[in-house]
Amino acid sequence: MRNQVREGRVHRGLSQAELAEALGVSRQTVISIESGRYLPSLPLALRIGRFFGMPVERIFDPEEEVSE
Amino acid sequence: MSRRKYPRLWAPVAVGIMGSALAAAVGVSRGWGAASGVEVAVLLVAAFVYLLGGSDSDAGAVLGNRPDERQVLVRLKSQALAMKVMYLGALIGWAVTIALKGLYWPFDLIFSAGGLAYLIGLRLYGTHDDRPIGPIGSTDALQDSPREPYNSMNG
Repeated sequence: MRNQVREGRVHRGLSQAELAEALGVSRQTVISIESGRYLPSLPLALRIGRFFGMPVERIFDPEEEVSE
Repeated sequence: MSRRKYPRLWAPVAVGIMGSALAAAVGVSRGWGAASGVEVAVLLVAAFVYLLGGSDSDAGAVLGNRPDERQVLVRLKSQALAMKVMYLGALIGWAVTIALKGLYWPFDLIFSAGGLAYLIGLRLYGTHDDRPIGPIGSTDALQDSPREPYNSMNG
């Protein structure tokens, strides 16, 4: 599933470590989410949406698959 | 994230306790010289686990007892893999021990305890709903007792 986490982070000028701290997860988890290798739980997805001020369905697009 | 006190110490202390028990068993059966060698190896492994627990990695987060939700999954998958490999090793050891007419009851114990723990896990962590299924579209099965139909006029 493709997502806009990387774009949102870069737009805010944050490093992966800073975003990880804000979300209460590890830097490795932010990397995994950004690359589409890990789908966050609903509570974490909601935290991400709240952090970026966007609805979850705008950040995570179920229609687009990440091609590895 | 862990709420335990001193989370980074838990894994090395567990290694130390289990390894010391093994060293004590070696001491009883083969003398305390051999046991001290085992104890030194145990302390080295515990020190390695402590150092790894402080690293900025998935392994560090798991061993340091501060995993986030993805790292909990990583730990679960690693534990499942380790259990499968241990079970395979135990199966080979069981077959070899039986073929050599050795004492194989420890393997019986491993398989019995493992199988029982698996069933208990299914029961503990699975969702159980033994109530009858109602007609399609109804929510009858989800209610513990029959209720009067809701009427907004009644307040």
